[in-house]
Amino acid sequence: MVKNHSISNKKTNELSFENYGKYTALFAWLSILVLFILPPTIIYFTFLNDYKKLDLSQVTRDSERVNNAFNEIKIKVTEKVSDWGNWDEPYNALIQPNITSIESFAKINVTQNVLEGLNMSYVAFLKSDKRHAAIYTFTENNFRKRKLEEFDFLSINHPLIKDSHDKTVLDFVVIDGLPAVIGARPMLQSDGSGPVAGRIIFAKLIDQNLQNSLSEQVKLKIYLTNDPLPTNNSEDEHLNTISFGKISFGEKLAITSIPIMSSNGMKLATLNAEIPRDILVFGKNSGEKLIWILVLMMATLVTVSYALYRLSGARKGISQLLKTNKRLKDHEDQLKALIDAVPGYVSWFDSSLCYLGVNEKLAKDFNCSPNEFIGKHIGWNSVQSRPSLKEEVEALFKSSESIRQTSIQVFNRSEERRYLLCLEKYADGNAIVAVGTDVTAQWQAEQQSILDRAIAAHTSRLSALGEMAAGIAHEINNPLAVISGTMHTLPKHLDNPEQFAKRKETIERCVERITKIVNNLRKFSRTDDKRDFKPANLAQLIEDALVIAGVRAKSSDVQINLHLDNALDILCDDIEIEQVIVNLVNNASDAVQSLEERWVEITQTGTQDQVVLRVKDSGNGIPPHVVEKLFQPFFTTKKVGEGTGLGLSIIKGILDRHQATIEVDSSEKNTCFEIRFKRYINDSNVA
Amino acid sequence: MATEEPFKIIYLDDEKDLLELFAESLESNSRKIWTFSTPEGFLDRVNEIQPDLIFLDYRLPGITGDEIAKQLPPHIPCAMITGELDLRFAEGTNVKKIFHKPFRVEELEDYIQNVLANRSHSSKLTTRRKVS
Repeated sequence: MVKNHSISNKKTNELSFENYGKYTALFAWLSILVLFILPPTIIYFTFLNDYKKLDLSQVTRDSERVNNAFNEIKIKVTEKVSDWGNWDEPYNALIQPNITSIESFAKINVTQNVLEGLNMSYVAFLKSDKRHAAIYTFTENNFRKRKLEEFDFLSINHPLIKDSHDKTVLDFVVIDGLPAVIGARPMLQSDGSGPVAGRIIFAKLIDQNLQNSLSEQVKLKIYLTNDPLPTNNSEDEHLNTISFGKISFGEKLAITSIPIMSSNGMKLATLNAEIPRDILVFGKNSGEKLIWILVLMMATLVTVSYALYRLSGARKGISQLLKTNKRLKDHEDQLKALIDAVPGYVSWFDSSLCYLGVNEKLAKDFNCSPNEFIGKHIGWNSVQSRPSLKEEVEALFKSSESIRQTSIQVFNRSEERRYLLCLEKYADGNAIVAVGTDVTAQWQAEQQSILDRAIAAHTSRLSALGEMAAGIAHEINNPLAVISGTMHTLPKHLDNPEQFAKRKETIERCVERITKIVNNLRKFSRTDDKRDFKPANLAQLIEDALVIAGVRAKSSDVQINLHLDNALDILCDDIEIEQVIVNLVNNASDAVQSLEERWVEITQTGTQDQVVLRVKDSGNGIPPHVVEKLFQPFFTTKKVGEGTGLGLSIIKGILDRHQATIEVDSSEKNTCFEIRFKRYINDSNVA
Repeated sequence: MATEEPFKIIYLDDEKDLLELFAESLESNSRKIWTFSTPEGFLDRVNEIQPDLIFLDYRLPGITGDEIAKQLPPHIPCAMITGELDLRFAEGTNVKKIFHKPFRVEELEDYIQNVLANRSHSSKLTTRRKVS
């Protein structure tokens, strides 16, 4: 069998599990990589160095230790400050910003505040290179630090002082427990021409609520390089206090302008500060980074979930598909096996009467392979004449029916064969499958059976006739013998009128006997022409029948008793009904001939619309299992050669045609057949 | 010469007319004919009469001629006169001849003569034996 030619032109999509799975799996792996590996890596590399290098042991909860540390630092500051040199010359001071002092200053302040028990503290640490400071927050309860920002004071890599000296360097410190911005800026000459040596350092507090803090006066400690530096016992009082003017906020910058005055009241310079607002937001950058990382992780999570979902769905879908494919394949195999197992020719066609396929048997019969049929028109291989198939298929396509069954005649290699052709539409009426089975044998058997039945009927008639002939011959020969003998002796009595008359009468009687029988015989030699039903008197029919049937009865010494009613008529074929009676009486005689009691009783009764005829004999009835089969053809209880078994089946046939019934009356102890006829009443009849 | 015994013939047939005719056609001084219409008591009568020849019909009430013939003494020759077409009986032991109805009296006569001739021949022999 060939693969089914596609009837509709749909293309089936081929789904490749490998391709689909590959890409999805790849994507899933990548996402996992991004989600779980990249962010930690980034974080690690970004902050790691710092985590590792910073020495956090400097911060402890031990207040005494901290105090001692601070004392030390104080001293250092004092010492250091004195190292700064002579600052007599106001404008030509050497710039020797001692960063250490600044940080230490900051540190001192901060640490003290820690001790004062603030909830949140910021600590700035100076890195060992003395250039970088890192701001950390600490909570009092745990010293888990959170690094907020780190700045390089003088780093040219700082975003604010990238290229130019006149940019303000800003940094975060904590002053009085609050975060502050500290800046260093090159000092400008009063006429604005170029920087002076030294730095202006200012600090500004940053509060959560920026606006509020800005309107307050803020203590600023400003170191100018050419100002006398504080001694070790000088505290904050020796420092200049400058208040901020109002800071106006632009969109991106906070701008302020501060006059720098020396301690003797001389205006040294004006400090213009431009503070980018985004710097003022604490820890924004790191926050931003974190946010981005979080976003990336979320995106990855979503993508991976989706990919996994699709993957599992795909796997389910694929396994379903594989199952379906297998089922399909199984069905295909089953179909092929089925079609090849059909003991006949299977072919299927599309609406243009072209073959879509055939089964092996058909192809073999045509000496081709099944593939050669596909696409060819019916009748392409006209080795055998198959006109009917084309017509039938065409007819079915045209009609709205879906099934068609006929028997066709085919001449196959000069032999007539008969096929049962079954056609059925499928695929919404676009295709037809045809199955042809060779029923020649059955058809021939049927023909034979019809012939056999005709022969059987004929044989039965002949046989009946034969049976009668024997008995009849005797009935004719006896009277003949009497006539012959009487004729022989008649001359003797010529002159004895009495004797002559007696002899003459004897002869006449015998002639009558013979005539009667011959007449009855004539009835049985009828031809097969259909006879009409005519009204007949049943009693008369019985009597006529007994002329013949009585022969066997007499010879078997069987007594016949009659109870007839002359007024009963039926519509019938008189010959056939006589045949029925003869047959029944003969059967009865045969049945009882070897019994002690030998009689046959024929009774005839009638009602308004029925005539009932009963033939009873002195036998003891018929067993039920025999009654069942009694009217079947060829069923006989007689010995071989004695009866054909056709009698009762023929009787039944005759009576059926007369719409009469025949039954064995099993309620009688004797064998009794009962026939019921429809009564015929004409006007002259008296019921 | 002693008076010869009459030739005794018996005829059994249920057709009474035929019995009459038979008796009438074949009677003569040298013969005596008995006719019977039923097989009842037939055998007894045969033994009583000791006929020389028996004619039997085939189809008799309740029995056939050949059945009766089988029961008859074997030394008495039997002939069957029958109206049957189909003679189903096998060769009976002493059914030497079959006549079909309607029979011709001449045929019967000839047959009787034959039997008579044979009988006298055999009786001569027996007489001789008796003497010696």
